[in-house]
Amino acid sequence: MPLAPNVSPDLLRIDAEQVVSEITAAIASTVVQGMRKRGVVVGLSGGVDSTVCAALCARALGPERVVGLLMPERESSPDSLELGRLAAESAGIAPVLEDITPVLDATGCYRRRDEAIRSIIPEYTDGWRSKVMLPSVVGSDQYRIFSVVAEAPDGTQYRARVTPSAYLELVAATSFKQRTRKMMEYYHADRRNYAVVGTPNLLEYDQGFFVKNGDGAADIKPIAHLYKTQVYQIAEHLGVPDTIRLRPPTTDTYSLPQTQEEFYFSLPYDKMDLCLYARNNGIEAADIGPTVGLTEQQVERVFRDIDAKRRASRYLHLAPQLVAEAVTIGD
Amino acid sequence: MTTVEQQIRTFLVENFSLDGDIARLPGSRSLTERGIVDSVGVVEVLTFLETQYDIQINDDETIPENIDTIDNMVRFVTMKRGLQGAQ
Repeated sequence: MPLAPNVSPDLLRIDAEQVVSEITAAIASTVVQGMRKRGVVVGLSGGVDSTVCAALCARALGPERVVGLLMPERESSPDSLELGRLAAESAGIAPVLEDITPVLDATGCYRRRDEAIRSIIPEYTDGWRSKVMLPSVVGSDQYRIFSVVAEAPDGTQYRARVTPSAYLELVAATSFKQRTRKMMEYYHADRRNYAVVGTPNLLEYDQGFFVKNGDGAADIKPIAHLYKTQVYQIAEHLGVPDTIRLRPPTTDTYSLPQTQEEFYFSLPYDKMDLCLYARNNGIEAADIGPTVGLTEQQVERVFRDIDAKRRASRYLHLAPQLVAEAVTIGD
Repeated sequence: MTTVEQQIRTFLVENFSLDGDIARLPGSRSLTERGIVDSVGVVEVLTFLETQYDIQINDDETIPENIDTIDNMVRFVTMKRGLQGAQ
């Protein structure tokens, strides 16, 4: 079937050199002139987004003005720390290590989360691992309701649909991880008079894939206007190491391995990008379908999911609301 | 109005409506498209239906045709209770 003229698979192709030039100029003017800060702190997860942000900031400000924070905790994949160090090395910046496990222990992050899981899977106990999952968005019209998957030390897996109270407690408890990391980033920024960089791509930013006042908090978000596919193009242009570029996007939040695809987006990022682009640009489901290998009906489901996530995450994007204008505060 | 519909409307008003507008909502109107029930709300609705009517809702039954409108919920609950009563 011939593709409609406006839905070429290359429609997200960018001039990487030009985009890098625009972003680095914006970082320099925003951070130095706009905020009067002397540098930036970037939390390095070992993923492509934070690696690209660190490399862009190093180009914009000079690598000596960029701190790469490595913030593992006891449930982090060992890969994350190793790849975070590689990210710092490739950007030519100094890594700083902060193990956040003691903070998470002190706040009760693990205990509170485990109690929530136990409320729906009573067998769950010490030594087990867990994650949350969503059903496929394209397979049926089923509502996308989270399930918890718990794995015993012998490999036996249990799965249970969340209850309202378990879901809210799970989200609240695991969000300690993102909020603790952001707290550490601001500590290291404040002590240097630096700004904090947020690393979401457009897919994450648009769809609310972040924790409010956690990874959603930042002074500047240099790649929030780029689709994930475009971030990969920038990564290739900047010479980000293959091991980082080839790693599947991960949440690194739960103790069982978990991709972003099974946790939130339910489609590989390249297909999600194209569906989001189509939704943003008025391209019909029937037209984008062949490009992403989905039927019209499946794309319609993805469109509905995109709209639902936008509605649900509107609150995440809201700045604190004033009940009357504070006239003394300027831009 | 049936007892089931009244109970569902009362649950929705008490949990999702601060201004009581659900009480006047047509039974055929989508709750998710109107933003009355979000993703967490769907879980709350499922839990309510399972608990209130002592029914088990399978994952493949969590679809708009069963729970996106008041009319659909009434029909679905009636069908589930009928099935369980016949077993």
